[in-house]
Amino acid sequence: MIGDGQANVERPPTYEELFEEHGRRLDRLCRLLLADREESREVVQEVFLKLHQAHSQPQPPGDWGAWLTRVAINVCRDRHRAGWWWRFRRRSDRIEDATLVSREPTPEEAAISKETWRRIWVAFRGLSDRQREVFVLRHLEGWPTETVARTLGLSAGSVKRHLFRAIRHLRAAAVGGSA
Amino acid sequence: MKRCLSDKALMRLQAGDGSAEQRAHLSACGACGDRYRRVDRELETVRHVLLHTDEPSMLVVARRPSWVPVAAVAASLVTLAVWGHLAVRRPDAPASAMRPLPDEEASVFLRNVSLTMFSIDGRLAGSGPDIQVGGLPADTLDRAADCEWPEWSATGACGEAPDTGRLLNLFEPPQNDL
Repeated sequence: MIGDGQANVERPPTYEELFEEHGRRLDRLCRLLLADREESREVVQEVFLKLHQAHSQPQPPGDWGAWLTRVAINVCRDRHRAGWWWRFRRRSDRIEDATLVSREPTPEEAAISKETWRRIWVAFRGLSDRQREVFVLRHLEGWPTETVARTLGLSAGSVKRHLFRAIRHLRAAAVGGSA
Repeated sequence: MKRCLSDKALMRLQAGDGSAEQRAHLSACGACGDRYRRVDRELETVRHVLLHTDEPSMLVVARRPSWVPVAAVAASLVTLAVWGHLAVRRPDAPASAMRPLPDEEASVFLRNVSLTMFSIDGRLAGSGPDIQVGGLPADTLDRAADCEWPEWSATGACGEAPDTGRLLNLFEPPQNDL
């Protein structure tokens, strides 16, 4: 039994455990970056397909969480580069679905004034792709500046500049002013 | 640093930027510390909204691409096509090297070429009545033009026996040049 316990501590996480641990987080991350529920689901599926392939590699990554985030960001970027016509076609096809979205506000939404909630989302969507990526990784994922810079292929100074612009823009939305 | 930090400086510090002097002031100044924490609370609100609330559906609809970019691209292409068409067909466009010659111009050109080819001593074969080709009478060529080979002879009209001796003179230099 003791031997089994030691084996459990050292064994790498299974595919199912990684999916359970990171699935929802990656879905939220992709939705923030892509602003499209369907597309973010597709991206998450693609990311876990890559995880399935990488999981059986002889030398798997040490930090699966960081690896999954990096892959998700790269796939989101690929989607952005895929071309506006493809995105336009997909979105145009689903225009009827979007008009059906209607629901009651959650308690969190009710706590924040509706206007503030709307302003923050508008401001977030007004950020550039780079500012959005930096803000999400630094403030929502809680990564250190150096890791964000390494992941996005930027210098630390550049990350700080993008982050400053994003913070200024979003803070203005939160307090009701203009950036 | 004695003056309090600006809002911009506080946000730079939030972003991990800012000078060591500003950071030192922030840790020493109570007022700036309070303002910094207020910025932090505002960002916490932003984090909360982005992490725990759904995006307003109206934003999803509003973000949907309209026909405006498509129409703009199409209009640009049409303009380009019309401009290209007009540029090709413009009457004052510079003459092309491949412009076809008019019939009259072509015939004059060909006549000049043939006269130059049959010129003797720098004088054109058809430039005057005194020109003789290899000692032949001037009207020989005119008469020869009416005949078909091999009927033409250097001395007589069509149907006469050819005088090959005179004919060979065509390829010999004139006597007075020697």
